[in-house]
Amino acid sequence: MNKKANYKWLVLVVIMLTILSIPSFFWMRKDNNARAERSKSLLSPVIMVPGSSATTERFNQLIDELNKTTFKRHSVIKITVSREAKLTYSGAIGKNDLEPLIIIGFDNNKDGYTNIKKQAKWLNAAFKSLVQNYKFNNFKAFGHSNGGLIWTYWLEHYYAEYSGDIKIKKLMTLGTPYNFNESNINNRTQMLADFIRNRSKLPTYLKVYSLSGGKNYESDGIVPETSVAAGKFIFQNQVKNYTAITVTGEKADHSDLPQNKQVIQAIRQYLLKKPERPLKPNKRKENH
Amino acid sequence: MKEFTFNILVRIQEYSFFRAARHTMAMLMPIAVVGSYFKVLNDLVFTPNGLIYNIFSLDKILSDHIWYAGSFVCRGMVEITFGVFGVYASYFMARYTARLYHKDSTMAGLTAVSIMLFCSYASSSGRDARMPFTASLLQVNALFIALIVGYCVGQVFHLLGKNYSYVKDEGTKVLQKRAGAAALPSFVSLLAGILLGIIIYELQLKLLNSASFNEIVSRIQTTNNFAEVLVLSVVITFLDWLGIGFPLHSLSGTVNNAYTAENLTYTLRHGNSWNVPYKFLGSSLINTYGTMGGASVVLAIIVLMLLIRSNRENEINAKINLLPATFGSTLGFNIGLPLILNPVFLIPSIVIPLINMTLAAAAISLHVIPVCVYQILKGTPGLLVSFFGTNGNWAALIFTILLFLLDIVLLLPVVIFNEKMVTRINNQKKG
Repeated sequence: MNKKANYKWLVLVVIMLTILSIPSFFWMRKDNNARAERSKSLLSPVIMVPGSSATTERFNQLIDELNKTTFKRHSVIKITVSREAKLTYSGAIGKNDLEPLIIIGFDNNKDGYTNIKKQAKWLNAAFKSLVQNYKFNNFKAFGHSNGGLIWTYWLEHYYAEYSGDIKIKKLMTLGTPYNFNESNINNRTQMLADFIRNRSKLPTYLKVYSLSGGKNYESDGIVPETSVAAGKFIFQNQVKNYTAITVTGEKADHSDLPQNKQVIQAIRQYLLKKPERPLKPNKRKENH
Repeated sequence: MKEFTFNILVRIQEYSFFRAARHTMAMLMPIAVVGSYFKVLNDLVFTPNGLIYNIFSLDKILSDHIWYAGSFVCRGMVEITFGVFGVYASYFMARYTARLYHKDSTMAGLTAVSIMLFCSYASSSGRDARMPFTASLLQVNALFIALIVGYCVGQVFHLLGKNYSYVKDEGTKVLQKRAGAAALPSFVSLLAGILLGIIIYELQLKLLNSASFNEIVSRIQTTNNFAEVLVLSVVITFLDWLGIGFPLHSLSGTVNNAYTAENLTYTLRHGNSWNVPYKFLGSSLINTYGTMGGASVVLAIIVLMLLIRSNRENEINAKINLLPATFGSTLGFNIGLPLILNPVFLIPSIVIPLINMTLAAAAISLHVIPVCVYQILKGTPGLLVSFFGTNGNWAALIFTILLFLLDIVLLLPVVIFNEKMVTRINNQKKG
């Protein structure tokens, strides 16, 4: 061995580092730019998941009602996820719309815990695609009936993957049966037990609103009130705040809830961004 | 003075604990090297946030099948090397300790292994039928514990064992006699091991997992007080030298907490990191400039040994560990040289990170280099961490390279000193 032999190794390492750092440099610049873009983005979509047996068309009436009275129209994107996790998009985000509504539905929209787990996985496939296609750093979630269960499962099992870059601000569930059809709270279903067991994974900054319908004193006609109320065992003392609201009167049964005026009012008030109203002329003067 | 230090260090190296530990680590060097190569491969290619995986978009090139197979092999190899390193280490430690006193070393080794496994069983709190042993106690990061257990067993054999000399062609009868002769020390050690296990079980002691060092780790990750960073750095680098790598290990890679997030958000909004709210975050300073992802001490010593070439074994060691150490996998060399429990390298392993961090903090406050805030891919070479962590700031790169050269200069006398010492110890053995 001659004295030069070891210089050879050191030079090789330096060359290797240089070669490796050139693509790394460009990759890093691109990645950091994308990160900066996401961080500056003002886009804050509302992602909605319908319940069992419902498709992406489930919220049409709700959206119409919402847009009638909202200052700016919300644009709508609908995504259907097939059993093989293939996505079909329709609609587009309007140019200046910072709060689009995105509806995610599933080809297999059946009831039951095993299906909910599958649907959460499909929801994640759609979410991943949304994250890649649109630069947003926060969003709001809405789930009708089982849609709320799918969101809860997703939050406990998939959200951690994104939480560094993308924040979920609020979750609103509507007639969500956290204990399925069980009206006795002492009989916890497997799903509820699992939700409670994994509750520590729910983000502590999340605001949760759980809306229920009261057709009679026990249920909204399908989901028992106690099953909706069981949500408190999952969210209370874990998330930032948990608010339960019961809506009664006209259109308060389970499948009418998304069209209910009070529900739409609650969505506008709690879930959506507050509209920026132009200041009144006299107030403007005061500011001068 | 120099001669005096030299003699003291030689004396320390002569203690049975250090002698046996040195032999143990020399014996385990190949396992550690295999582990560190697979760890680098895993970090670079088979982790979703690995360097090569991302920059060459391997998710599109490699089929899932191949990727999962590769990931499986790498993780498996890391698991059977570093994951259960304590089992090997306790075996050889007991063996070499017993051998120093001419006792039956194989039986001592086996006893030490059973005690290690029992303690690991005792600390697995889940009582999960599939995972009866906790990995944390057996990991390479808890090497010190394994060495202590091995040493104690060796000493029990020293006190209670019968002298044993190696017999060629052992028959069953000889073997039975041998097992019988080792019964007393084995029994006594095992009893002590059971007592230890009971204590662990009853008090639910999570002996040496990352949680035991959570306090230190979370302090250093969240402190922005430079003096505190220096003090904690001393603790962490000392533990690492001792063979307890958990705290240092949990600082490598990207740390995610409220403070780093606030820094990153600021940087993304403003386009630069000159005036982030937390300029001297411990986690960022230690990993980027203190240990430089393993480059500041380990890689510098490797480079020196490749250049000085006075000791053949050390040179070979340096050569095979050059690649993994460049990518931040330093355990192969830590054990191979060894750096762990090597009195000569105690002071440098602690002081050099302190010097580096002080210079870096000064450079940051003088606005020579920006603060390191961006996320780093796994397997990023230690020398490039600051460059990528500042979104490609050239001043940071040049500063890091100069720091590395300074470390090499500072370590030069230490390495020469070490080579001399190795020669002296070898000569004494011959003499």
